[in-house]
Amino acid sequence: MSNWDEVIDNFDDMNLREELLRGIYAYGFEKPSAIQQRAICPCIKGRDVIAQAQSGTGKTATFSIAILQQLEVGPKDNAPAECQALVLAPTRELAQQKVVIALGDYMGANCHACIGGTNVREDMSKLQAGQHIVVGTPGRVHDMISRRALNPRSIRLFVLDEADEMLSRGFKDQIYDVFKFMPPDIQVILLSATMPVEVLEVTKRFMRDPIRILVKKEELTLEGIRQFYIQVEREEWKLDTLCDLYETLTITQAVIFCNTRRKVDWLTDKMLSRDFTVSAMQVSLVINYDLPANRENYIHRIGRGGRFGRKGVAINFVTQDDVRTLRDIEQFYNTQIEEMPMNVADLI
Amino acid sequence: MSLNEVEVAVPENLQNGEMDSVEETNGSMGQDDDINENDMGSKEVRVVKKAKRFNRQNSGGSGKNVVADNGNKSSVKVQESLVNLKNSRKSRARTRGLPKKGGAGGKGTWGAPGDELMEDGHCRDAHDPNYDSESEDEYVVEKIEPVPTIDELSKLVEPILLEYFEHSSTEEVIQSISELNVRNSMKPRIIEIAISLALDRKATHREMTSILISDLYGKLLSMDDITKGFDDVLKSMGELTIDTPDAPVVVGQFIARAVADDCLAPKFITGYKGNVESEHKQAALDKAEVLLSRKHGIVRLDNIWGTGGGIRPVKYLIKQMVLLLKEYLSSGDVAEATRCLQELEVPHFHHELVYEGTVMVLEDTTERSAQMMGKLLKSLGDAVIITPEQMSQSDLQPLFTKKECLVETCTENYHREEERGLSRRVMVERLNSKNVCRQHPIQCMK
Repeated sequence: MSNWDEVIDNFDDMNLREELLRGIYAYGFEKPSAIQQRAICPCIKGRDVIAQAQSGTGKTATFSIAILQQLEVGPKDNAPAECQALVLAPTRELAQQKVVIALGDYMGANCHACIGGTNVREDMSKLQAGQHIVVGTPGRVHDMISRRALNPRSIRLFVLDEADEMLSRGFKDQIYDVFKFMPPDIQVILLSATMPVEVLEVTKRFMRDPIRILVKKEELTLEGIRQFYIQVEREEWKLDTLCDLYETLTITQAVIFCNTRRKVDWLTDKMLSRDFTVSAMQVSLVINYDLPANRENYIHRIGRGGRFGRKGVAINFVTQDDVRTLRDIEQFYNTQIEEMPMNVADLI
Repeated sequence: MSLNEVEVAVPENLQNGEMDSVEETNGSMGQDDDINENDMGSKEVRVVKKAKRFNRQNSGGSGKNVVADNGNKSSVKVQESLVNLKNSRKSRARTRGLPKKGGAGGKGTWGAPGDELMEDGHCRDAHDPNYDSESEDEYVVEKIEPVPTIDELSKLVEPILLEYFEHSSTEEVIQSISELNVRNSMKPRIIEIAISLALDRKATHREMTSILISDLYGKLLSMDDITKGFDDVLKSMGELTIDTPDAPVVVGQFIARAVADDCLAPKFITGYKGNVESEHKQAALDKAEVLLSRKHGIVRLDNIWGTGGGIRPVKYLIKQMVLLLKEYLSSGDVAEATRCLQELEVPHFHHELVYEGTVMVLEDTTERSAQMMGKLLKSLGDAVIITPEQMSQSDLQPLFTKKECLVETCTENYHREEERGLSRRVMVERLNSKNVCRQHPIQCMK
């Protein structure tokens, strides 16, 4: 197994086809993430690739781009499209690869996610109509192949998304079964957050001279993020606190997290009535109006490299009941959340 | 039409634009030849330019023929007219600048004659698409509450449940669902949706689903609804098993837990005896029965979904980690320890395991425990279950980074400290005080 060090730090230099590049930018990607900078190129060159990175760091887009770049999309009126890429995912939800569909939009790529349940018939007719890319859980895909709804003959690219998760959910046999149907010269891309023995076993079994890409430095981290809390005695006072905050600081843009949609709607109304523009992206500040119920979500909200936290100041609103929760978050992440200082404006 | 052609066509069009009648005939006749004859006749006589007509005639489709006819126009004329066009003070708008609607409507007018007749109040709104001028019926707008269909219900309930996984407040779910105006016959579907979502997720979310089912009982769902819901889940067992191999076990656990929570009658399981057609369905029922028939089964079902997850107190999670490490030290089973760690579902808290493990080795002193712990940490590190960053996150860093293997470093450090006459205790305490998270309570807040 060889390691790969080549890094390409923008999409323009990856020699991608124009329609795909347009799809990438239209989707809102600007700069490739660490895993994308390293993994996309070897994938496109047809190598077997093991990409290992935390969830939420852009692995899905990595293989989506690799698939779409290698796809042969003929004119629409020709014979039904043959399946060229097969993606296995651990759950029905993850199988609904919205990214592939969005990125492939400009190329006219057909992508079908097998949902099963009451839609089995629909799945089969869609597959028979011809799809360039098929996504599903290993069990579902195996079912579709054995029903002859999916012809694996022209599949050239086989992707195992979240391989560790798939194996821990008991899909080992189904993965092996599906693989038996694949043509012999198939390219395999495996993505996984962790690399336990079972995953390594799969790589040894199915992959030929794979390149392993390990993003050593975690992308999602609290490192370098200034975290503060503001003590708000009662829930009802949070709104006023938020407005005070906006008055005292020149906050250009902030993301505010609430725990329910109901609260989001309520807060949006309140803020609009006070003449704030509510919409977001390119954020300088993250405000946790409510602390997350599950501690694991804290890093996804404010962590660097996460979807929202970019610049690195986070403010948590803490009521009496939340004090304990905040302490737990500190200990959980081995981090410090200080009471907000007066000069916080200088930090934003 | 190329740009060049347009330019040439300009003067010609401008010329014929002078005749008022041409514009009208152009619209009605639609025969280009006739217009062109007109053009030819007029061009020698008068040269008057009207900028606004240029656009209109050009779009009329006669341009091409015009070009063909006047290919020999002098360029001087073209230039002159363009200059005039540019310097024209007349509006370039196509209209004459009069009020809209031929003077009938528009700003500052009284409207067309007859408009006032509609305002006598006998018709509420003549523009209402439902207004029928024949019958001139009165209509009543009634408030209706739409009842969602089965498909709509899934689309509405799913986001509510997904949100519940984030905020874990059952009150919020009950409130949101009762706003939906769900027909009674469709209520069992809520159970089906909830279990189907839980199958895609891990133990924490399954635990939350069980709590939700129990909280919905009596408030939104009756026992019959829940029974019917589980019936439907069992019916689709085969399908569910395709996408989730352990679906029978999980559904069995859900049934047992629901029985333990008193929202499903124990006879639910016995009622199925002898008339089960699918093996997956049978497996689910068997699982439930086994769980319920255990000694103290009901009590043990409270933590059927384990005890991990980011919603548990940190202290509790630490205790779990210590327990699994102790178990590992006696069993030596790396795979089992790994499984236990992952079952806790707190990947961002794995740095704690490094810390606890190290402390344990330092307290234990034996070579064996140091070696075993090194083996476990190395295996977890190789599998990136503990990330490199977590491995070095705490202030234990110097213990690990210099030499890859914990075995040597730990024992070495320990011996070194011992040589200096420090007791193990002291060193552990020093470690404790070094580690920031242990030292930093939010003391100012009560």
